[in-house]
Amino acid sequence: MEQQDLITKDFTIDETIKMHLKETGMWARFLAITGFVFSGLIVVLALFAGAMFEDMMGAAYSSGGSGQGVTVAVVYIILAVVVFFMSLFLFRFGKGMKLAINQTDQEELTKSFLNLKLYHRIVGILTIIYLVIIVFATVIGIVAGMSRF
Amino acid sequence: MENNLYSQEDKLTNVTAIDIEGSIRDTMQSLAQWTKICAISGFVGIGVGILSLGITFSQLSSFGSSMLTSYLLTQLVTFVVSFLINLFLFYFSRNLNRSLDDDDQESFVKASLYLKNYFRMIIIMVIVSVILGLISGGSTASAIFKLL
Repeated sequence: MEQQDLITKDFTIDETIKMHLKETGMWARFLAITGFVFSGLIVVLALFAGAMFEDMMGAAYSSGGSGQGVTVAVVYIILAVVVFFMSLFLFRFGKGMKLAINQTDQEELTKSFLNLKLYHRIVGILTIIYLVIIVFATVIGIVAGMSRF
Repeated sequence: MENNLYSQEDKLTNVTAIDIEGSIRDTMQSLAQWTKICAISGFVGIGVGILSLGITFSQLSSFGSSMLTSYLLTQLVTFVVSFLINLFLFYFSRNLNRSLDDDDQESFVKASLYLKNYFRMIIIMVIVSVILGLISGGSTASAIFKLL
């Protein structure tokens, strides 16, 4: 009877929601594994791109690459780290969701949603940074274009 | 023994459903807030992308029409898919907020459905991008080997 009251008073995770969340967790895990693979590929690319950039700059200028290849490699590695952590939060969300649904574990569900929040926090912050850069680049471009006339 | 019985009973009462109360509400409220930020900034990003596509389109008018059309088509498909992804995320956020505010079970069902569709759409986009990337990478590599 008490359980019945609880269900009517507060909303719950019923069978339909469980089904949706279980599938969501599965897709999230799949996406996270793809993200892990991508972050590994970016690290490999960082090593090659850095060396290639250094060679190209060395061939073009007598002074050589002067460490620009290292800068390119560092930027790629930072990108790989960001992708890795995003995938990690997503993987934890997917894994936690599976556990929470299978074992009907409230604490695990809270942790799972927390990881999804962290994932979206990173995505949100990165998108805002990207938009700010775009706005600045546009303003600089317009100012540079106007100063020509 | 009494402890064991208690935990067993506790587990049994929770078997049917998980109640959304306490700390999970705060987490979900925060999640709804961040997903809304993501969705709105995503919409703005798509708008900026469309603007820059217009500028690029006017600059690339000297290129061949077939090349330009394929470029434009790829960009438009990307924008449509990105828009749908952000729309699902926005609807998820809105329904989650509504369900938390009004204790509305139906909105929570909708929110979970939108979250599922959001991830499903991202997966489809990732798979299509990987396949297209492999095809274009393969054709570029074969062209390079032919030149050598």
